[in-house]
Formats: sequence, C-alpha cells, structure tokens
Amino acid sequence: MSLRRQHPWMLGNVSASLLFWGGLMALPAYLLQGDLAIRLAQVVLFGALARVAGKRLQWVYFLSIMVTITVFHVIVPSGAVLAEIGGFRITLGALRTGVFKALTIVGMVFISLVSVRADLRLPGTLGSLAGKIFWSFERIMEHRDGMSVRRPFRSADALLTDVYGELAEMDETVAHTAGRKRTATRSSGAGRAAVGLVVVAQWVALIPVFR
Amino acid sequence: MDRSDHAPDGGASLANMLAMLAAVAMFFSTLEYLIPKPVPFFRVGLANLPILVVIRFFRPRHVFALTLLKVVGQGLINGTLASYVFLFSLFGSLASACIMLLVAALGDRRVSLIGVSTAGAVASNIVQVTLSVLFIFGPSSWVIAPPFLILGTIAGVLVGAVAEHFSSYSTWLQRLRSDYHQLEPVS
Repeated sequence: MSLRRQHPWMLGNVSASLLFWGGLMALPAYLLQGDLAIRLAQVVLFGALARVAGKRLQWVYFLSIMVTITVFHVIVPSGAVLAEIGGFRITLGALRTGVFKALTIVGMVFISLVSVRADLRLPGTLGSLAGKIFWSFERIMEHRDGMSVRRPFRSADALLTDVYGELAEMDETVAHTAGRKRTATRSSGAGRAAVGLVVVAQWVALIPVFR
Repeated sequence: MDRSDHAPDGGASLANMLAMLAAVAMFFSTLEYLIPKPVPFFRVGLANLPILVVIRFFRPRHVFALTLLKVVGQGLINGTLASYVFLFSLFGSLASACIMLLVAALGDRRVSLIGVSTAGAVASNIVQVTLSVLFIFGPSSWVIAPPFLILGTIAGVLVGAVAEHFSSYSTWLQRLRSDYHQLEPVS
C-alpha cells in the first residue's frame, strides 16, 4: 500500500478516486471477455500497470495459482486429446478452460492492485475510519525496524502502545491521507486520458466477442 | 460504530480501537504476503491475531466489524479486492468469527485462545475449501482438502499460542481493554 514506489507521474497526475473508478469501470468489460488471447494481453497490461503503481508482485505465487488451477481442470477431460502421458489424457477443452480461469483470477488481482491506492478517500464515517487505519498502518510500518528479534513480543507491545497513544492524541486530520502525502487530489487532463484509454480499450476488446 | 465519535478519556474511541486493530491485521497480512505458501490460497492466519486478543472482551458486533475491516485490509494488501478470493476470505472469516465467538462464550476461561483459534481456523478452512472447489478448481480438487485442512489446523494452533502468550502480559491490550470498558461498560 506504500506510495513510495509508485511512479511519480502517476502520483502527480492521477487521483486515487480516478484510479478507483477507472478500475471499477474496466472490471465488467474484463469479466465479459471470453477470448483467451485477449485475456492474456489484459493480464500482461494490468500486471505492468500494477508495477507502475508501485505494487510488489510475487511471481512465484501467481505462477503457482496458474499451475494449480490449470492442473485441476485438466484432470477432467473435455474436447480433443492433445497428449497422453501414461493413462492420463491432456485435452484441449480442459486445458483452455483451466488456463482461462487461472488468467482471469490473476488479472482480477492485478486490477485490484492498480485501482486501490493508500490515499483513496472515502466519504463519511467509513472514510474517517479508513484514514485512521492507514495512518496507524503507516506508523507501524515506519517503526517496524525498531522491533527486537530477541524480544519480539515485548518490542511489538511497546510499538503498539506508542502508536495507539499517538492516535488517541491526534485529531481528525489523520484521516486525510492525500493531504499528508501531497498526492494529486484532482487528476490532470493527461491523467484522465491515460485512465480513460485503458478503460475504453477493455470495452473495445469486447467487440469481436459479441460479433 | 454507534458511539465511535465519543472520546471520553484521552482520545480513546471505538473508531481508534478498531483502526488500530485493523492496522495490526494489515501489518500481519503484509508479513503473510511475503511468506511462500505450500498450497495456493493457503494462509497462516496471522491477521486473525488482533481478533483473537480482543474476542473475550469485545462485543460480538464489534468483533464482526473488526473481521470485516480485516478482510478488506487483507484484500487491499493482497490485491484480491475485486476477485473471488475476496469473497472466499469474507465468508471464511465470518464463519471463523462466529465459531470463535461461540467457543469463547461457551468455553469461558476453560478454553484457551489456542482452542478458540483452532476452532476458527477449522471453520474458515472448511468454508474456503468448499467455495474454491465449487467455483475455481472444480470437483477433482477435493484431493487438496485434507492437506489444506491439516495445515490450517496446525496454523490455527500456532496463532492461538501466540495470541495467548501476547495477551498474558501486553500493556497495550490492558489499555485497550480498559478504554473499551469505559466506552462499553460490562453489563
């Protein structure tokens, strides 16, 4: 959730709310997509955007999800036989379904990673609570190096006591993450165009599916 | 959340308590995200620690509120907020919270946090395995259920042991308990 690794252009030109609404508008088009090649392109695109957004991607984790989901689908044969290993048949239909489902899930994770930024400001009581949560989380992350490996529980207790005390003394300003971080509260024209392009591309990619 | 805006003593409020506990859950989610997983979607359950340490003095509605915040926090950290995984986590965590509250209430002090945590882990894993078999992996994947449940139970015992140990002396938790009882007097 850290904003430190996010591309400076993105922080300065794209507001957290535009990212959030952009992700929300792209998601239905993404889910309606049924073409495997386009799905693969979408996953690559959103993976790259997640990296630009400063998110750490655990490739081994995503690869293990891909392999596991695909393997479990291949167990149940469907369609033309592609290969036979011992008595086990690998079929085209099962393989396609498995890979498509696995890519869909990984892509959804990437969309979430791109769309939600730490300075996203929600309205009302929930928004204020979210701001306090992010503030406390940032404080814990900032001071985690001060925790002792020899006395993990005692040092964690001291850290939590300090952060809780600070939070109690703060007023509602802790809820305004964008103000604290000096990130864009309004998107520039270029920022809007970039997000719009990504969203429109997802809907345009549906045209061959519905033809 | 009904009395969250009240700050009767040193800025203590329900919102601050929930925010702090949810932030701790997010911190543990971050740690867990970095741990390699033997089975995809498997979680040790470290993010349940904040729920476990308050389960004996928080009212059920506040435990559920914290559970929801934990699930959303996990979704933000793992980036699963817009995926099926988020729903699995939500239903698993709610089932876990229900069972943990039940065990904590019925068992009173005779059941340690290890027992409470283990019961919650089993409930959460049963729900999550069932949903993932139905919606993602397909019926052939029931074979992963036993190792998933065994690993989940072991993780539940370990997380419960950590919660029990931490609860026994934490000054932060003592302050949290005292602040909570000022806001929500024990009837």
